[in-house]
Amino acid sequence: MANSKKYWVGLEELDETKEFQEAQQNEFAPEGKSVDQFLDETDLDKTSTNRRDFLKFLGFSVTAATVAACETPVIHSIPYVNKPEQITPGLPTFYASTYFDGVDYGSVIVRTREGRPIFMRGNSEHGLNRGVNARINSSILSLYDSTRLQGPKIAGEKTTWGEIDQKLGAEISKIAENGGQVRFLSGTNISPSTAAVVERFSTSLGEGVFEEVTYDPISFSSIRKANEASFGSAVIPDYNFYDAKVIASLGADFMNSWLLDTEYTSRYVDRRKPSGEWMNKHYQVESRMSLTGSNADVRMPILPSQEGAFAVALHNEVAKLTSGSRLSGTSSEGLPMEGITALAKDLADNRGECLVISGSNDPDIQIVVNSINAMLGNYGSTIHTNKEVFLNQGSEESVQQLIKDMKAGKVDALIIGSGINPAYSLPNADEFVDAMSKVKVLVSFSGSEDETASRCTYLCPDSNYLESWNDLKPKTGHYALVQPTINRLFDTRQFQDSFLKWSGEEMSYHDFIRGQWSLMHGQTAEAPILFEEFWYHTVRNGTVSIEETTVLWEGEFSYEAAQRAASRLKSTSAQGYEVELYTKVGIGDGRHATNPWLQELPDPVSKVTWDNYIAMNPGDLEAEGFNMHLSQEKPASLVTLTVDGKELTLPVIPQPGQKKGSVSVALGYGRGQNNENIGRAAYRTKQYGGYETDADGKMIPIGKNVFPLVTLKGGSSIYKTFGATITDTGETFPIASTQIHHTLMGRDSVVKETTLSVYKNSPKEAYNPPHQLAAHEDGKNIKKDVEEFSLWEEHPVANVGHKWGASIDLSTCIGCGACVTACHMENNVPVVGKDEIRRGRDMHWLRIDRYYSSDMSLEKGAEQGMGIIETYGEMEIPEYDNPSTVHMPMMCQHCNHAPCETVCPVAATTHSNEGLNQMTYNRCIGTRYCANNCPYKVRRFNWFNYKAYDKFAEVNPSQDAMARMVLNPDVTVRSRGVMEKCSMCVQRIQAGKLEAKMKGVPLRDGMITSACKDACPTDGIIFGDLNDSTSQVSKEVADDRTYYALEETGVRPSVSYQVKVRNV
Amino acid sequence: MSYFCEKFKAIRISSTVGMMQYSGKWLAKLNTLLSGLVLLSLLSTSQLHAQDGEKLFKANCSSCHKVDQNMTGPALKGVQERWAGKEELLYLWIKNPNAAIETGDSYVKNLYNEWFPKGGLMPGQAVNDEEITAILDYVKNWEPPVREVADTSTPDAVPVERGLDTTWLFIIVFILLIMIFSLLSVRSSLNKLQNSMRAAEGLEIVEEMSFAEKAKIFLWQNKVYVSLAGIFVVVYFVVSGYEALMGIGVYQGYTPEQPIAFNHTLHAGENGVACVYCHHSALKSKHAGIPSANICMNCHKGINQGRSEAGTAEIMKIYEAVGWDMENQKYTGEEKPIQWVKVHNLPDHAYFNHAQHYVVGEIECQECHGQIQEEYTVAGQYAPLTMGWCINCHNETEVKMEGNGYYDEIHERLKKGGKEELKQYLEDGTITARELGGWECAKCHY
Repeated sequence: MANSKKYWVGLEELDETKEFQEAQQNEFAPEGKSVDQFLDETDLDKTSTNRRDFLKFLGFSVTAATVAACETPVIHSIPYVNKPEQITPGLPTFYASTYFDGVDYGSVIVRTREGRPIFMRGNSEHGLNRGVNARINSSILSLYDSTRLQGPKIAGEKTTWGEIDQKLGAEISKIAENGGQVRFLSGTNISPSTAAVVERFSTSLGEGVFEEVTYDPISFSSIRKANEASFGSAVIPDYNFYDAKVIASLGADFMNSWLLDTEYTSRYVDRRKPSGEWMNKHYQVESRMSLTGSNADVRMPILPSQEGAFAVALHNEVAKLTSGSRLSGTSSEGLPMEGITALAKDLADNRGECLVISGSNDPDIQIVVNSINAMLGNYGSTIHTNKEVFLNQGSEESVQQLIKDMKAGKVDALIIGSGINPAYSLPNADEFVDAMSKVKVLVSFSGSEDETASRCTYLCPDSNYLESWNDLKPKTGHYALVQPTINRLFDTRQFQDSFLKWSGEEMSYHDFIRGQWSLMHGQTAEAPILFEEFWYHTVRNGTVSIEETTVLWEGEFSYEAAQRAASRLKSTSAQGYEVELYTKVGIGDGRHATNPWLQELPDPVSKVTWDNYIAMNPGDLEAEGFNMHLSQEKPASLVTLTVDGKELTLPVIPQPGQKKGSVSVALGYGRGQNNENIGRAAYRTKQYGGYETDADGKMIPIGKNVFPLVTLKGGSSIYKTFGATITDTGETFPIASTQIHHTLMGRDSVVKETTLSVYKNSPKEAYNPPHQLAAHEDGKNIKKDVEEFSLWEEHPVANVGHKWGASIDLSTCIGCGACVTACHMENNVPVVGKDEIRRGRDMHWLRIDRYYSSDMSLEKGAEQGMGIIETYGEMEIPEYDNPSTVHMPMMCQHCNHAPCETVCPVAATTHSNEGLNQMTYNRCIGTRYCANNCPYKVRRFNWFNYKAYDKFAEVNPSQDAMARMVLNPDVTVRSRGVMEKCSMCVQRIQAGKLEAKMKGVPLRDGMITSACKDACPTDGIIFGDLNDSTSQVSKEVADDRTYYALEETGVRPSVSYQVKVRNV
Repeated sequence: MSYFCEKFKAIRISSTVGMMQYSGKWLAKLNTLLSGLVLLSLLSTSQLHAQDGEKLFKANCSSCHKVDQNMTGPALKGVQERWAGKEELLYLWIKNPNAAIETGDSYVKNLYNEWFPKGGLMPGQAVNDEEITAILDYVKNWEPPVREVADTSTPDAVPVERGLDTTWLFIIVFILLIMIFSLLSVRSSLNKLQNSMRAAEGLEIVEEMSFAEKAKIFLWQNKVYVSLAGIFVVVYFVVSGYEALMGIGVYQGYTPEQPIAFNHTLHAGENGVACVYCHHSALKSKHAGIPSANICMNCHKGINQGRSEAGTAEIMKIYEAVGWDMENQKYTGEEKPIQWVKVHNLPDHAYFNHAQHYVVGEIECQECHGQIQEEYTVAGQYAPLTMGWCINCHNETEVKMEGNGYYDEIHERLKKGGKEELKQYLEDGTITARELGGWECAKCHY
């Protein structure tokens, strides 16, 4: 039987009825009014409905509803006509694939149900990475974005691929014949087969017609340039975080956005277990508080302008200790010299086993860093000189040259690749847009009609990566495959297929890859002998490693280059604020701005959702007189940032750890300035739903686009700018933050932390003392362990059957938030939007609490003779300049003496014989007593019917017919008026037990994992059966570092934490 | 004629039993239909010889050939005429087709060219010349079976629902009512007569009391009985009202009309096809699943005729759905999914897993779905599917632990570390689903 699956949203789409087409144009259902809106209306008393009428209506509707309820609803069920062998309805199917969008790279395992991808985790068995970051695992929702281009278009009109091929083919061959120029502007390509396809297309056009230009929205070209200057080879070497005992990062956010961040994070935390052989020491030098910086052992805040001077100063200190040559040219004024000396000593003590990296895109700084690494002998050990990383191939010079050529009319056809959006993300986007009008043929492969694509004539939408085949080579010796996990949702076509077609090839890209791989297979000795076997093995695993090395550079390190670079590094001195631009953990360079999960993901450090803002040191903020304490009723000050004649109006928030005199603003916001159809979640929404509009009726994007603030210095994009002024507009702007308290205020039973030397040299009591409570016995005041007090009888779950629990290591948790989005995905957690978050009604089952240290402590307060209330008041204020930070994932602790269970009047929350605190939605009547009684504040109340109420139409994916396909069919979509909370993924527990029962084998550790554990890139969360003495979680719980949060409450949680150990 | 049909049915059923005895394979059971039809033809033909031929035909040929229709291979009717003059070659062809092709005969070549693309080369059959002759004789004397014409309205003999026959009741009530009215009218006539007589005699006319007054007096006089009856009526309405309300949302007995009138009694009952042959995902998954049409085709590729015209029409619906071109014995690729009506609809917040119950719990399908192989033609909801019904079973059903490594481990833990209150579960020697947590909310609601 022919296999020709097609997916429709419904029968209406199949029939293409008129109503459906209209409804499709009109994206949102006709506006109705909510009860709140109705009651808000002032002329309610003017309505003609009197009390009697109301009672009549009420009586009628109750009767009607009762009568209607008696009828059996007819539900249709359509089985496969020809069921694919590997799919059993009700059972998941897993595929190994790889995510690469030009920036982020990660190997993933995709779980599909009935052909729909619904969950994604890192492919830790075969990939470079362990887990994947939140951007990658949330990409599954972007697949179901109903605003993606649903088919090819020519000049705004829907068309067919045949027509595109014909018309565009004619145009391009005409250009080729006339000796015109065709340019392909694409993101970084690391696919060998794609490169071959592009080559083939180029050949088919004839010589001198085609040229490819690579463009990275966030550029790291300085690393390549620096290596060219230092070693004569423009490459990026492979960094080895696993063997680095000391890591000094000069502003490199390697846990979030720096090169192969998913791999580096995994290898970094492999050395963060204090019980391991050794623990690495992490220094971070930066101006803003980054995710990486918040995890550093030693953090040194500097101004963005001091980066170069810092690198040189560090270089000179290291040179002192390694008898290297000093650099001159910059002054070390204002630098934390003490810290630099300590860092240099640590580095010199670990020669060949340390790593210095820089996140700057200034080649001169990178050259100096190269020199430091060279002096320390890191090349060949922590920096591989025989393995290359192929990411970030973009070159600003060639992009700028392209714009010049376009302006000069030298480019006849411009093909713009998918995954890039130069009309939005170029610093000189306006210039690019102007230049576009000089190009006759504009082709876009973009999957959505974004800022760039909407200006192109020919739209040839690329398929989503979950619908595509591809191969990838992120670094030497490592190959990965991308395989489709769903049939194409729309009439899209992989751009490689388009290129093949336009080159006159009949072959599909899948066959083409196989052809390429069969060549490669011939060259490798280790692979299985039969190609088919090799191919399916790789498709199954997702990756394959092949022994291959390259020689990155022949030349010796050039110290002269470093000397020259240092002399160019003049510290800039300008009045006003220095501005640093960065990409957020959630929305990256802006491509994820339309993903509601990521918009709602709190920033790991500031905890702000749905917005971008200016982050400023609280001291500066206070001095400027802006609003300091932001909460539900206290909005942020709206300020105007002026720099180089460009003005931006944004709210300003206090950010402890931000260097005084500097501010930071995230890139990636302000998407869809001209109301392009880029996605539902990209625009600001009103309090009761619907989009906010400006005077012209245009939707207002969330945040502001700060790409125009990026400057070009000698052909490199510089993500900092100086001499900014910030002025108050006098207006305020509400900010939605999931956490408005910043410190622990001395509550040492929530987070415990110690230093490595204490941990290594002292008994458990020194860093993890058991919590004791005062008691009165035999006329004496004594202290007793918490264990000995109990209000309740023991639940008989210990040692019998299963007892599910988790152990969270605060030493390895980096607070990245991948678990938060994974929980969204697995448990159908609703997205509630900015207004609700602002009111503290976020629905995240799992949150990550972030606490800063405070200058004040109870002891210090007593010393200074302060009153206790005054002391606590001071303790509430975090350290402004350089606080130490701790991230603490917090979800339902599944207490064995759960306070929530005893207060529920309807027994909707009960304890299972497997130690789970069960939440039964169908029993819950919404008294919220349980949430009130929960010491951890992890219970979430459904204030609204998120899946239907039009307030959430723009933000909640379950209100979109297409995005609803991401819902996990094993988990109920909760409705209004019930409590919900972490269930420890009970659906996975039940499925795992069933699997064991069906096989008739004991449940082994690892057969069941929770979604958050699956997602964790650092193994910070360990989940398992506490009654199984061989399980990893039992071993973790038995560790000396284990403690329970708020142990003194005596609730006996099933989730334990491990003391955070800092290597200071 | 009807007598004949009855007789034929009897013969067919006896042959079914015979078949089932010597062949355990369900596939053979499906052939009973064919065997019945063939048996009928035997009534008109005689020889014991041909009966052997029938057996041989079914054993060797019937999976690819039919007598009167093309299937995987061509229809065999008229084979001798087609091969006239080449009998030896025909025998060789049947025994060793490759050898027959090698002779280079043009007829064989054409045959090969026509049929090889459709069904591949016929495998050589392990039959001797004598047996081939028997088969050919059987084919020659074969006649199409006489169709059942008894019921054409429904595809299958749906047992007529026998409700209470109320006709007689109505007649009796009617007669009684006539009698009552006649007596009443006689009485009122008498009253009128009496009054007119009294009027004639100048006496006072006795006023007739109204019905309501009389009723009041009657009720007052019998107040004990009346109040008892009143209480009874009130209780009756409360109870039946309560039951009616409790029945809201319970669709026990729901038997919707389906796009294909699939007959469970015929397939699972008479033909003995195992439930999980079609509903195979019950072995692995939470859904028992509505079988995909390709599963139907496992059998119905060959069985293209029902017992009646209507039955055949239902089979044709499968062909339409999968795009099966019966003439050319190939799939056209035009598929039309079948839109079944879901019978068992659990609420979204209740999780039920077929594999858990059927594979691990070893619960028979019939426990929840009734004797579907005997009683149901079209699928219907047998159980109430209420939560009370679920947990009642969980309370009573013993967990099948023996030989299951998972439970062995759990059992060990209980014996070793269990508290006294749990050990009492072991006292009565059985462990029910409830004792293992089968009454806990999050076992079914999450």
